[in-house]
This record gives sequence, structure tokens and C-alpha cells, in this order.
Amino acid sequence: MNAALFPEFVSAMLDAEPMLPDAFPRDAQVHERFGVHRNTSRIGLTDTLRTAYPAVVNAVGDTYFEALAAEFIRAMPPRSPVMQEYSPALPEFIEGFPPLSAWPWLGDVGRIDWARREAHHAEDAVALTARQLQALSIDTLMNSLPRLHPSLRMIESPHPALSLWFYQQSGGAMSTEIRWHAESVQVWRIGFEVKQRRLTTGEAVLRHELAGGRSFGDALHRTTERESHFDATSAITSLIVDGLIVALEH
Amino acid sequence: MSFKRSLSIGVGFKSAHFEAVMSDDLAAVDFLEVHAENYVGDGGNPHRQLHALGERWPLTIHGVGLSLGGARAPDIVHLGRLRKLLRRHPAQLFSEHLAWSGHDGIWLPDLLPLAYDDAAFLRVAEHIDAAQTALGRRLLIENPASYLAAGDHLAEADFLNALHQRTGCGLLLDLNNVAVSCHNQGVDTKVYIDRLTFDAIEQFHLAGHSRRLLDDGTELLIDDHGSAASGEVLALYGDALRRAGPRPTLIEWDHNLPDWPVLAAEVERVRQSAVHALINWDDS
Repeated sequence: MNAALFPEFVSAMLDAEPMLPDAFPRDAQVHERFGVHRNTSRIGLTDTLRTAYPAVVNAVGDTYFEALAAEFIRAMPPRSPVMQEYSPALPEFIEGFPPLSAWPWLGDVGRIDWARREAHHAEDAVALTARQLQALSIDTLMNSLPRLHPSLRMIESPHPALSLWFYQQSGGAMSTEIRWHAESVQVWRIGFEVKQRRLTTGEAVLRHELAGGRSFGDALHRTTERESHFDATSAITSLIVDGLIVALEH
Repeated sequence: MSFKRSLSIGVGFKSAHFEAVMSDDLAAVDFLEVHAENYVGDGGNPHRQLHALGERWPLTIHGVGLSLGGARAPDIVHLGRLRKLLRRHPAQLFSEHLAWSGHDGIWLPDLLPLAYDDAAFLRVAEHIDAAQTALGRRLLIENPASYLAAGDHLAEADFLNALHQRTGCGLLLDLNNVAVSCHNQGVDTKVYIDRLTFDAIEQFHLAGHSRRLLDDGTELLIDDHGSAASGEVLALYGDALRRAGPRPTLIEWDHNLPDWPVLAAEVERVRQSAVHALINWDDS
């Protein structure tokens, strides 16, 4: 087909009721042949989203997810030829999707799915060990700017997003009751394994401060000011145990 | 003997097979191919696996996102990703498609058809030149599977030959796509293959297809990579192989993914078919 027809063809690929460009014969067989391309694209994009958002799929069920994906694909088709980048925009779309308004937490469950996708593909980095950090004087450590692991993603949810994520991932089989409060979630990679866990408020604030480019000393100071119960020692320990400090800049 | 002139039989790698491939001491596979766009992340397990595979086997990389048939020049950002990937994982061959997949910033996971006219020829040739320059290497261009009438389908072979002449690109001949397109367009596969410039062929692809009956009773072949290559496709392969000479040959099996031993057996089946075709040169 001529390149002048590409815009109309793309629209016809995405529209709910496709109209092929006029240059194609108005013929049932042509329409069916065109349907092969529509199917390839629809199935490809739906599978891409399904793989990226397993907990959302578990939450709404496969049939509902397909319908949701169809709406999303029409509203926000891929803007990159790299399909594994499709699409970080689904959680926000879910939050604005009226039929799902009774599930306000689903967007954050989706954000955990997407954070896992990003962490999976993030740059490799080797964490500093406790021994390496202990070799430094307190002054050197406090004045240094720690570089955090490139896979680290944090989600601040007003909902128990990670508890719900685990619940959906286990197919709804988890026996413990979900306590309905806000959760700070950390998604990251240790080696090649993607992990996720809940953070205490202090741990979350400290990570945000460090990610914002503050020195250890500054970040600890600011976290202590905001969190009266902040336990600096255990917060630093958890940074090391999680393998999050990959370099110290002085 | 160089890889590029060898009867190497490879498989499209799927991460689900990683452990099985790496622990298969008898693995008969000669090389592995991956889709470029699945390895353009910064790091993590995909690159770890590809690095491990690359230490043991030759790799070939197959792009699906350059949209060489598109209305605009190849995306510079995407060319940058591919350049980085090819530096990180040296590939024996890098191939793309005679198709388009995006327009005006929207991308679809499909290879869409283009008209084989003069305007398209000049455009695609320019895009191949731009990509070869940006990547600093020769591209192989694959014939697509087609469903919609795109005019005279025989023009496709001429179009590919002319692209080879104009840009120096090699050809990747997908025999399953030949079978699918020729069936769907009512063209004789032998006539299509006869027109190709065999010196330009640098790689073969083989795959399975399915059949779909249209409402008016017409049977359409669908290039779905969901089964073993058919007898017809292997016969076309034998014919092309006799004329082009030994070339790396890839088995694509992307859907209804079988366990590794089934793929390993398919490698042996294709190898026997290829050896038979080359030895029994005078049979045809």
C-alpha cells in the first residue's frame, strides 16, 4: 500500500469499528484479510500488557483484562517500537476507568507490576558489602553521597498495595487478613532476582532523601526530623541487607 | 569454514529454554537468534542469558521495530538502541523486514504491507542506507508474509533484488513467508523463488503456518510460528538451498512453544532435509 494511506491504515488497525482506506476494495474477503493484521496487533499488544501486569490480570480475570486492554490500546497505543516498554500508563488509565472506580487500589497494584518489569531490565550493579562500608570512618560515610541500585523503585500507596499484590499473585489464596492502611513499597533486584517488600515510613523517607541526591548525614538528619521513631541504625542496616548501596561519592 | 557460508541450523531463542539449552551437552543447535527489541533494556537477566549463550554459540539478531518501509526515516533513538545492543552482543548477522510497523509516533507489533512501486523503492532504499550507516554493518532484509493484495506480488522478488543492488543489503529468505504469501496472493512459489538473486541470500528462516477458512470458502495461510515447518516449506528450502549454497538456517517457533527436546529434534530434521537436498543435487 502507498505510504499516503498509512495514517488511515493505522486508525483502522486501532478503531473499534475499522474502516479500511478507500483505496482498498469494499469487499468482505479484503475485510477478513485485513482482520489478520488487526488480530496480530490486538493479540500482540494484549499479551504484552498481560505479561507486564500479572497481578492486575489475576485481580480482574482474563476476560475482563482483555476488554480493559482493548480500551487502553485504543486510547493509548504504543509510542515506541520496543513493546516491552508498553506501557507504564496502564495504572493511571485504570484509576480513571469508571467501571473500576470501586477498586481504587488496583492502579497501585499495577504500579508494583510495572516496577517489577522495570527492575527486571534495569542496569546491573554490584552492591557494596557491610565490610566495605565498615572500613570507612563515620565522617567519611556521613559526608558521602550514596548511589542507590539502579533497579530500585518505590511506590507510596494510600492503600495496602503490596498486601493486595501478594493476595492477587497468590490467586486470592492467602489466608492472612489484609489490614487496610497505607503502604510504602520497595521493588528492586538482588543479583538477577526481582524482589518486593514493604518499607517502614522511616526506611521509605530515608530512601527518598538519598535518591534525591543527599549525603548520608543530611538524609539521616532529615529523616529523623520527620520521623520521631526513626531508628537510624536499623535503617542503614536494611539498606546494606537489601544491597541498595552500589557506590559512595565523596 | 565461515559461519556465513555454513549449513548451520539455529533456533529462535526463548528465555523459557535457557536452562535446558545450557545444560544440553548434546545440543545439536549451531546458533541462536533473538529479537533485538527484547534485549534493549539496560541490564538484568535478559543480557546475562544472552551473554552466556554468546560465549557458547554464534548469535544472530533479528529486528522487528525499524519499520524500514515506513513513511519516515528509521527512528534515530531506535537505531541508537540497536547500535548499543550490537556492540554489547556481537552478532554474526543482523536482519530486518521489508515492511512498516509505525506511523506518526504510533507503533504496532505487526509487519504491515507496502506497495512495491518506485516511490516505495526509493524510500526503503534510503532507509536501509541510513540504517546500515548508523549501525556500521550490512543489513539482511526479510521477505514478509502477506495477506492483503499489494498489487503484483511477483514484484516483491524484483523489489528485494533491486534493494540488494542499490544498497548492498543481503537477503534473508523466509521460506514459510514465501509459501504463505504465494498461497494468499495466488502466485506460484517456484516462479517467485526463480526470480530471486541467489547470491544475495545470506540466511534462511523456516517456520510453521496455520490455515484459516474465510467466509467465501477461500483458504488463507497464516504465518503464526506455532508449529514445525511443513513439508512444502522444507521442499522450497531444499530448492533455494541448492541454488544459494549452504547458509545459516533458523527455525522460528514462537507460539505453542514446545519443550527444548522437541526443538532440538526439529533442528535434526531440518539438517537432514538440508543435507539430503544438497547431496541429491541432481534429483530435482
